[in-house]
Amino acid sequence: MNMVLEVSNLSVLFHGSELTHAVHEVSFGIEKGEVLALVGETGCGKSVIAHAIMSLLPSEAEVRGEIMFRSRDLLRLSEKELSAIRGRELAIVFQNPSLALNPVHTIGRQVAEPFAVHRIMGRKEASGRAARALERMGFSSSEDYMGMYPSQCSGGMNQRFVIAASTILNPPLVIADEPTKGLDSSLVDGVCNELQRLVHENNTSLLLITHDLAVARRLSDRIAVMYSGEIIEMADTEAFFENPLHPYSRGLLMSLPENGFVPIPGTSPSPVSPPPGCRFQPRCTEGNRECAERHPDLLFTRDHYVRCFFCH
Amino acid sequence: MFFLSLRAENITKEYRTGLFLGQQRRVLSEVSLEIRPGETFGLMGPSGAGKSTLGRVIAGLEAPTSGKVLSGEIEISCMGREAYRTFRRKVQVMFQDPTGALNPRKTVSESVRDVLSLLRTPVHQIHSEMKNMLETVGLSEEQLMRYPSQLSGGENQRLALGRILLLKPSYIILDEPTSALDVSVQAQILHLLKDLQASEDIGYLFISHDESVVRYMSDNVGEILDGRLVTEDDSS
Repeated sequence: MNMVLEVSNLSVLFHGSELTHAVHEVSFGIEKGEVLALVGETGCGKSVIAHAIMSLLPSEAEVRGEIMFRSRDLLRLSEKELSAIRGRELAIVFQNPSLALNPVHTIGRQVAEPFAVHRIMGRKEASGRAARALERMGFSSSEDYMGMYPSQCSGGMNQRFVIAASTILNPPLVIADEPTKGLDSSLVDGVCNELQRLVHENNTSLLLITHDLAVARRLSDRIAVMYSGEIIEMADTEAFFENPLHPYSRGLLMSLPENGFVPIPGTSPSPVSPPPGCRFQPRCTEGNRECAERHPDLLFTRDHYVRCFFCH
Repeated sequence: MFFLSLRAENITKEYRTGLFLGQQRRVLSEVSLEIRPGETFGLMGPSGAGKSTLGRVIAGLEAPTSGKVLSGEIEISCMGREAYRTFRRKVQVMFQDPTGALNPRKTVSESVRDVLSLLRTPVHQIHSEMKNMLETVGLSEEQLMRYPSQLSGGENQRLALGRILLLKPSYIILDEPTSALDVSVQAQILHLLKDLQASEDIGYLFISHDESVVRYMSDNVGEILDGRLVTEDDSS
């Protein structure tokens, strides 16, 4: 096994007017060239994990556990050491390109920026590399796009520019945080193609964070389902879609259009006061008293890791 | 008049763009459609096709370059002040991002009170009206003291819908109402909208780029392509 990233017992708490338990003892690993999809509802802690890996959480966040990236614990590194890694070895594609791109700088300058930040080469040479990166992304007349500003391009094009900028240094691990959110189907297709090309050509490992199950199925080798700050099921992607075990996973799949939009009753628990037992128990139709009192562990059964007393 | 249909007839909309606004860009070309009470007209099309523009024109938020919007047989641009006020109350719009429609500095309770005070609801009825509304959209009284930032996307969308329902609308323009929501929350909101339509006989214009959602919700479906509306009848 050639692990690029190993997250062990990661917990993130936010100290505000109330103590918020955003992520609770999450563990997973990503091998070289592997795509792991982290899926779940908004607010379940997916993006907090991404920001914890990148060490981009605000000061009120308390992070516990271990994040081993190429034999270094990212939680123990100084800001200077992290700055040397970010962009070069570990990159993130943010979900909103209009916020990720600077409106007053040209696309060419922003795609070439990682070369300048890490002082790898001069501006002219970097500009040539940026143009080639855009060509690989399917922008045939890249010189035209290099001089354009984000406001002159569509949301889908801007998202591809963000991917180009984030991956121009060929980092071994890319975190894509909701890269297709808000895009229509043709643009989703384009972004998925870019990410697939990136993984296949460079053997890049990808942590894909999404609430779009179709995108997760298309791109990932393995899938981890999160609910209320915890991983509740993790399996190979096809095994998961063929036979989801956790009641929440089954509910998620039933909410899809092809299954008739059957909703899961109720809402996720508050991260301020999560239930003491199984966090899905208040919405679960299969649980009993034990589920309300005891917290289930994530255990391996039938090719899946699953956090449910009734699945073992 | 609002139990009758809401119709758009030959709507064309152009915007001035370019240097010194010297160019005209046509977004919609002679689009006609009808929304009937208790029914849903589903409007699809890629991003930037003009779906939201058409919704805003039908809701009276933007004037068309040519063409007319009719409530029953009355053209909205010819309405008197009082009739137009009633029209604006009866034809409501629900946007994709509910947080944009809610004041971040106001609690759920204050946001709902604002609507009730605009409606001149007697003080002794405010609590019961608020309670009924929360029950209808599936929110709890515990959430009354929370701010929009403390609610999930689905809860904010329910709140936005609840505020609209207080106005007892005849028609709602639903502009990508579930695009920002997760699949499970999306399913909840779609079911809520269907239940409300069945009980209140509300007509919807359902705008989305997601074909599966539009087909699930709609009685009639159309797609905006190059500014023109292509309906199922046209394609068959």
